[in-house]
Amino acid sequence: MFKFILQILLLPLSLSAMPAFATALVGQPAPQFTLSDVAGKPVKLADFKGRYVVLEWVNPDCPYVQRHYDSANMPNLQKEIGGKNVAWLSINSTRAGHSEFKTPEQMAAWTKKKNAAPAAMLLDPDSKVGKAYGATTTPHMYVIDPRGQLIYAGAIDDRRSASLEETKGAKNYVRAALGDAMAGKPVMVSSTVSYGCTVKY
Amino acid sequence: MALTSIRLLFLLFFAASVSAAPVRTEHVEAELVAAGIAAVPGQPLAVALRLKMIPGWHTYWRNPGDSGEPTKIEWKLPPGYSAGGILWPAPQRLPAAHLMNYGYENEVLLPVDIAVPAGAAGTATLTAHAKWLVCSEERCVPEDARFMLDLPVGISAPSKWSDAIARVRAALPVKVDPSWLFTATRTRDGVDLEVKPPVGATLAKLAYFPFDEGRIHNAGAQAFDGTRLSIPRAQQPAGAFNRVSGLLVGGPRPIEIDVPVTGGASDSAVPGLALALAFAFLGGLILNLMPCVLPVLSIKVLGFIEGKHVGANAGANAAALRTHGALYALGVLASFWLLAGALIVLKSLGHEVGWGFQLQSPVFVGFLAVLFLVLALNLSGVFEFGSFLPSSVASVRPKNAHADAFFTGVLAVAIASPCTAPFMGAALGYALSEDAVDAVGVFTALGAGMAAPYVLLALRPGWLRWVPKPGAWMVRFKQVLAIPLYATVIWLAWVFALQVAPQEEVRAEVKTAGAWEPYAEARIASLGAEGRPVFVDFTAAWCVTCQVNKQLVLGQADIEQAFRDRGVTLMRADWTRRDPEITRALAALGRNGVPVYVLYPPRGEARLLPELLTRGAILAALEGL
Repeated sequence: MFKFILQILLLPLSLSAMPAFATALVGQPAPQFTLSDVAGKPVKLADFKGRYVVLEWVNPDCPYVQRHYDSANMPNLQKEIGGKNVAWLSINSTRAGHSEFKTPEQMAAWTKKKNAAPAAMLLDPDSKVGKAYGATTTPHMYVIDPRGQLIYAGAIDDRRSASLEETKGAKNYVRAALGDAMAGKPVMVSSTVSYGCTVKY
Repeated sequence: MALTSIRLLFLLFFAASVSAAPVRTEHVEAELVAAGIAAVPGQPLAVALRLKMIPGWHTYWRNPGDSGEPTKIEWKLPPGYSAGGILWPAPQRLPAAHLMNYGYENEVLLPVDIAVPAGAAGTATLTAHAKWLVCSEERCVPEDARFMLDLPVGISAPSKWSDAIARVRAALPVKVDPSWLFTATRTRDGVDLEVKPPVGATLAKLAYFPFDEGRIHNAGAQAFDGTRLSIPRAQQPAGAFNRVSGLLVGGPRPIEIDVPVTGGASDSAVPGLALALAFAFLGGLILNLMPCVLPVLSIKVLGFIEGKHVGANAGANAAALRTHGALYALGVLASFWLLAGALIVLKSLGHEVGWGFQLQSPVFVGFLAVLFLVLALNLSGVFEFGSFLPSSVASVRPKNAHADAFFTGVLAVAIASPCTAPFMGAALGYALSEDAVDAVGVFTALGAGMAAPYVLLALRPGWLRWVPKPGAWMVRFKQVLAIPLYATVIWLAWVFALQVAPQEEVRAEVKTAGAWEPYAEARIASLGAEGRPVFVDFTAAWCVTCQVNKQLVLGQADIEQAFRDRGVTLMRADWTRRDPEITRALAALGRNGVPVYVLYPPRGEARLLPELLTRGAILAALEGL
């Protein structure tokens, strides 16, 4: 009896330990957004409900992004995952006016040149979506499950480095998170420290 | 050999800069420099990687913050030589939009110690491949450079870099010395770090740089009020914020600290004020049921019966009861306010005080024992107050019913203090860690909780129906009520004896108490390092809850066996007398009273067990090892 009362009393305590935040948190609904792709077509996150979604923050001028594209690591993962009915959305949140800002045409050309295969390459010139997700680096990766819950936030892999040779043998957190979730298991590593260049807010 | 000697002579003569030629990249001038002109066998050789960034560009600290990458050095050294890690100077906070990095601008020397073998001879050729990420607000560029530094082995002399390297090394963070005291408490938004610098030192500003990434909100403001640094936590953490482990910069020299975060190791939140007040009220209610309060409550019950008996008409009777109840409540509240005031004053004076501290004083315990003996003798009918003591106590008690009610409230609080009722520990911890206004609020709620049943009875005298009618049985009942009072006197006498006995004897008693050994903070750490868990019973002779738990739970054969099976070392922290080490340990756990039961697993967080200990709670905690 006493234990029961104790549990009742401790309940509000455990609830108060979970403050609400505006940024994307693992285990909570991913913030909704609508962004234009390189062709100017609006793309809504809600359009992909019922599918897994991978969000990738990208900046072609960042050496870490270059490592993952020049090694074909990112394009290969996009193709591999795209085959599993996962929507991959690449987002460039570099603010308009920054020296590294890219126009839709430049992003389209870069995507093509790198053989990248995202479902959409999206532009976030006022950085709104980047800030809503709390994206800090390029690359910064997020995985959303079919119910719209965020199940992974963090780095692409466990090798913080801009050098090409590091990709070999790296543990890819996005692939692992998707693998766990698709197998019906809880995601083992759901939050890591992302690495790379600062998102150019 | 001849060649080396000539080279040495050359170096001595020209005091040449002992460094590999600087490498100029697009954004950095990099150089490997040594403090001495030669490597001395058997002595560490101080070298440093010098990075001079062009204006507006920076490189990174070991934890780069929201983005970036720490500088790395890969060494290729002659056999027998070995290089230590980079001795990181304290970094700067480098904001970028709403993000934050930790690193260095302008010029930085990253010192490294090279171990030179005792049998070294000839020339030491140090080859290094340094890699760094250099960034401006606009761009990031990974760069690298290779260096080769040839040093003769033999007698050394300072090089032209000696002073610069020595200056940097003299400013390197140092491990904090024990004259600093830290407590880290979890809050809703992060962790509050209480900083107590050594006597005489004051701090105007302070910044925390964490070693681990992904624990704190890097760009968040770290408010510092002279004693408390508020560190905001990461919104999407990459790991638990369980330790404040990193650098504190702002004092005369950066210091390296590692403080465990407390404030609910099991219940991982410190309650907000509203919750703390609710807990305190509940704690106050439960105080009424504690064994050490019951004797006084018994007297109180008698007072009620008498009060009901006195009035001739029902209306006057009810009014008298209301006044009585209100005065009792006032007595309880006044005592709690007095306690709160005293705690606040003592706390501000820097004393290590805790709940129940009154009973750590032998004078107070002795006084209580005598008082209780007098009350018990009175109940037994040995004497009547009116005839025994015509002045002071006697005249206060029976003749002035108002003062009687008030002082019964005061007395109830005085003896309730050793019983840290369930839930009250957290509320008190909150009160003592927050400001004075909150503390007074929490103590008021405690008092209100304690007085509530009597106020209720006074307002609803009808409920007194449940109280038996007065009669001849009262004399016997009074005598029966004396028994718990006598028991209390015996208990207080035992506490008093322990308090006045030499410390060694008390320790010896603990020592011989079966499997239990006395509390030793250092031993917990060393046992943990051996992979062995430790269970600590924070207790005191004057704490009834502690004694009950000891008898009914901890002392049981099957529980002791369960501890043995898991290889748990049992420790008892006896707080019967003031003990700064134990007071500090309690504070580190976010508590100010006993009992506290903690299981320290070899790895991971300490686990707090409930104050009303159950076998189930212990077995479950052991199961989790």
